[in-house]
Amino acid sequence: MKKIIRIVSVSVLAMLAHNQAQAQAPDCDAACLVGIAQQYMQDVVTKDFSKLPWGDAVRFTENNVGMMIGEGFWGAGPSVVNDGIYLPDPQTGNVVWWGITGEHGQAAYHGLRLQIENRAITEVESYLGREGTPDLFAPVADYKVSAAFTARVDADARTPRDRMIALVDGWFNSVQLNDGEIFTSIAADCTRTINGLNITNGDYWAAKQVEGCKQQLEQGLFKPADRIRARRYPVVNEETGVVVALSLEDHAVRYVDYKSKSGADLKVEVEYPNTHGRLELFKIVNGEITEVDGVSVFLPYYIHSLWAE
Amino acid sequence: MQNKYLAAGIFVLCGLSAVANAQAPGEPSAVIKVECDYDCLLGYASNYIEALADRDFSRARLAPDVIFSENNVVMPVGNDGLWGTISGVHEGEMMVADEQTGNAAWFGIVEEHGNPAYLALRIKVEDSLITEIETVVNRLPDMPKPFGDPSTVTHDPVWSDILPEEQRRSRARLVAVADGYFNTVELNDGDVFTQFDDDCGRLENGMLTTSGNSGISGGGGNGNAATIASGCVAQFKLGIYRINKRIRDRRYPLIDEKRGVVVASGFFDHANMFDRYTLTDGREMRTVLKWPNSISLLEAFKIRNGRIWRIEAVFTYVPYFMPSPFAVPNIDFQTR
Repeated sequence: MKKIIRIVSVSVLAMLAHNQAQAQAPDCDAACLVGIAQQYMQDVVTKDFSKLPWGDAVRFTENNVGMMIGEGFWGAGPSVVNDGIYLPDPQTGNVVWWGITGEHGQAAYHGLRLQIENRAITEVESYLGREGTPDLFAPVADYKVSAAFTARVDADARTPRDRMIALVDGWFNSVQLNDGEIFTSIAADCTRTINGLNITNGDYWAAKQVEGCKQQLEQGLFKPADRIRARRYPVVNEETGVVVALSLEDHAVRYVDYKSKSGADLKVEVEYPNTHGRLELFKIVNGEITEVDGVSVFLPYYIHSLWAE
Repeated sequence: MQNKYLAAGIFVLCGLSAVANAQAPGEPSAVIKVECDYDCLLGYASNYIEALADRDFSRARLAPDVIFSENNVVMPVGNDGLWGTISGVHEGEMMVADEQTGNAAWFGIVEEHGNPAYLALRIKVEDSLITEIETVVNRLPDMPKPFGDPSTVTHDPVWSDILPEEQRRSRARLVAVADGYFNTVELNDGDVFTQFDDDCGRLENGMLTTSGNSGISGGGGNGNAATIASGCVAQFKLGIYRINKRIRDRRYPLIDEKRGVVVASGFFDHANMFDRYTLTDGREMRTVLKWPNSISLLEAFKIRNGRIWRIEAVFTYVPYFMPSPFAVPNIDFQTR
């Protein structure tokens, strides 16, 4: 009997300790996360990574390839072209920087994710959408980061964390094999930008077919996206309604011609197999996706993710 | 008593182990049996290309656990990558083989949905089945790179010629000559670490990039090093390839002493830590691309008298520092 009481007592104490731990503030709050990311963006320009708070084992990828800190963007005459925005998630310990950087004066759209553990950087994942590849690219002079991604959403228009992830996952399910079925909720006036190019409004071929995120998906314009895999959601912020998603979008290109739902003749943009590595920001208000922006990198078809489990 | 048997067992095991290793290091046997000779290997390569052209992988004589990569990405064989897009194969390929390692290579032009692409293929045959398929496919549109006019490309017939005895070199020397080529390209500053035949010529992605050589033809165009300097050695002495920070993950899976052929695989890393540099004659050059990138290649060397005579390469851009599944199996976050 004494033994049973002792076991129960230990269990209760363990539960109390667990709940206490959950109630504690995160090791590194939003300000802390942003501070570390700011230091990273400052130090990358001076190519001095010695002062950054590194963890014991650091993983670093640039455009989905593992390499040493100091290589890649770090070594290519780096500069920061605009201030960018910082998107922290104290719950996961991730912080994302989204903005424009330069390499020997040539600008690129740049999404950077840092994982912070015990106030030290343990993961660095970066995607640079550069000019001159087969991927989309709009001149950076015409681009401005939307204020929506840092603006707070009214309390009654917020969406719970898990639902936010479900909405973005549903977005990917809608784009994948896009046949007009929508697996998420999208605002009628939703806009989408890739590497600075507005693809839902303006001169882009898809916008000429029909404008709007939802309308384009309903028309099946993105059918050549065979698979969207390695999906991850490291930053979710209920207050700003922002989800940062990472994914790999495969285009097997087994066909080059296809039709929209309304019968328009369409052609794939690149006529050989390719994969797009993406870091994208989704804005969600009232349970609907209202804006999508991000970086896309042209990668060898089917490239494996070093991050997805 | 038990200890006595245990000791005897350990002695026997040690003996077996010593016997198992009584051959040249890294070799499976002190006598390499040729199960599939030169023509047999070329047959496997031809058969693979025919199966690919028909998109029928069941005819390609593949091992159940075959490893297939396209531009260094491992993927299922049969319906992805080139297997899902091929619409034709041009005649006039170049093929070579290595009876000792069971490797064969095919260099040529294919079409995807009617668009030409340069393909370099390496296969490894073991126990009558293909166990490895390594492909580099060079396509357009892409970043600036050589892409010769497919209608003008011919492969020099000397690739299949057997060299006279006195012009042949050992496997180790052939590899050293090819490796010296990569050492010369790496950080190219004018020093030359290999030997070139006076008649050396190079075809890259169907483009003759050295010019002036008999027996090779290929389309010209933008990005041709021949416009800066003519000839293999002259280009290296001028240091026009200085942007190559590293020639990485070099492998030499195919060597043929009789024909003086080496087929190599590797990456040219362009870190682009600088965007301008000076040639050894004082001319200033600017890098075309400003950001880090790598080139993945399969490159064949024809070596006579210990000197590089012909070079054929197919290469394409891949993300900077991308690893090869054959050089670094089970890649995770190794950065070497």
